[in-house]
Amino acid sequence: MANFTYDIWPQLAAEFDGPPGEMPTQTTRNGLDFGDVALIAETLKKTPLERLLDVEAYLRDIEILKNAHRV
Amino acid sequence: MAQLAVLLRHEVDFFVVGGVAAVLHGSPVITKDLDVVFDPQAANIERLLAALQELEARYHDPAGRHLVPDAEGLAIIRVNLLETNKGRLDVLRLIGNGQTYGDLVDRTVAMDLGEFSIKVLDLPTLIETKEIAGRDKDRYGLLFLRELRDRIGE
Repeated sequence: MANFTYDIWPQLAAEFDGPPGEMPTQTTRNGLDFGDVALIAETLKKTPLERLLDVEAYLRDIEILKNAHRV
Repeated sequence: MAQLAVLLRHEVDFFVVGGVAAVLHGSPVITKDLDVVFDPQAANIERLLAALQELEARYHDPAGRHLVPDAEGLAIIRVNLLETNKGRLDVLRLIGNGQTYGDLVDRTVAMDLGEFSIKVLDLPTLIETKEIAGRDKDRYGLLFLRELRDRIGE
C-alpha cells in the first residue's frame, strides 16, 4: 500500500541498532520490525484521504490482476 | 469512499470503526470492508435504510439467499454483514463489550476526506475495542495500532 521511499531510512535506522548498511533485525516493544515501522512512517506522511485512496487503488489493482488471471 | 458519501448524503448518524478506521489513523494494513456503528434511534434507522437501499445492500449469505436489511432487523441485529454495489459494508449496532453509538460517539475524531468530513473512532478506543473482541484476525492489525499509538502519542 504505502510506497516505500528510502528517505526515511536514516531517520528510522537511528532507532534500530545494527551493522551499518544492513537491515536492522530487532523489533519494537509492539513486535514490529524495521520494515513495518518504515511502512507506518510512510503512511503517516499522508493525509487520511490519501491513505483511504491508496487502499482503494490497491484493491482495484488486485481485482484487475484477479480478472486478468481468469481470462 | 463511495459508501461513505452515500451514508452522508442520507444524513445517517454513524462513525467508522474497524480496518478503515485503522487505515485513516495511519495503519498500513489493507482492509476490504467498511465497518460503521450507527445510532439506533428510529429516525436514523430510516435514514440508514434509505442509504442501504441506494447501495442495493443485501446480507452476506453463504447460502446465496437474497436477504435485504429492514428497519426491524437493523433495530435488533448486533452485526449486519452486508454486500453492496460498492463493496462490503458491515453495519454494527454494538461493538466491543456491547457498546453502542451513544456510548462511544464522544470518543470519535472528525477526519477531513476532502469533499466531506466523517467521524472515526479514536485510536485508543479502536485498540480497546479490538482487544475486547479478542479475534485472531485482529492480532496482526493490533501490532500496528499499538505502534501508531506510541508514535503519534494518542
